[in-house]
Amino acid sequence: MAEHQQLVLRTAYRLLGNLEDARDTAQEVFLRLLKHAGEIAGEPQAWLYRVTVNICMDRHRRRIPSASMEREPADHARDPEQTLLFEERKRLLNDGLAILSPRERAAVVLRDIEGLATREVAQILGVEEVTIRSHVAEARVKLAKYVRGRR
Amino acid sequence: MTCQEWEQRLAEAEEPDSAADEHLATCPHCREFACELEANAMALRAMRDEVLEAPPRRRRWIPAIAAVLVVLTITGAWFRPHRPPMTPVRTQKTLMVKMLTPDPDVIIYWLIDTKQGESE
Repeated sequence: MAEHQQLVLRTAYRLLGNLEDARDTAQEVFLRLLKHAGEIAGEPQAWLYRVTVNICMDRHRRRIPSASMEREPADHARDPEQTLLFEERKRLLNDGLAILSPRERAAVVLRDIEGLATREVAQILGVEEVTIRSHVAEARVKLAKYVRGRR
Repeated sequence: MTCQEWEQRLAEAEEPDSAADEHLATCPHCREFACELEANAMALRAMRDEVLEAPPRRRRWIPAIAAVLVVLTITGAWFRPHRPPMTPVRTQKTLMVKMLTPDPDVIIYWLIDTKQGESE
């Protein structure tokens, strides 16, 4: 259950850019899970991703305000200078998610952060694989330019 | 192909692309872009391992306590000793108090009996 909670919270946070909104979304997702528990066959992972993305998209459409991307704790296991650069890149990428369209953001979060296959992302978002490939590529180009422009 | 088109192709690539490799060998601009994509991919993957705080429990008892205090204040029951009525009570009305709480699912109602005719 804790793993599922992290999955929802992490995805919502990347899509909304705000931990408070992500927590609200997580509560809504798990309320829906309780309501529909009997209808979900097998692992609820795909269902959780789909509902999380849908709720985040709804929030985006309703323009529920979200603050700027919050900072993450640093990983001190590496060389300090490399850690600093790596954390800076993560911070920039986190900020850069905000410049993507909601579709691009959902695609890149599920594909590149959550590590799902293109086919799985297509099923969750209800579009063709070719569309996902295009959204992900577009998002990667925008993020690369965003990061390069700020370093 | 222009460098912009190569950038798109590099970003889409999920499998080795020999044509792209040949272009990268001769184009420093696209080589730099490919390095950027690779570094970003690593950083994005690392973002998955970050643990975020779980949702806090909602404190439903706070509005409930606030509501009790409000009712006690309204009815005057807050530490008031019992006094016998000076005159017989003639009429009695019921007052309904509705209190909205920060949680939209929680609405608290009270029915308060108010005695009239004491001052008449």
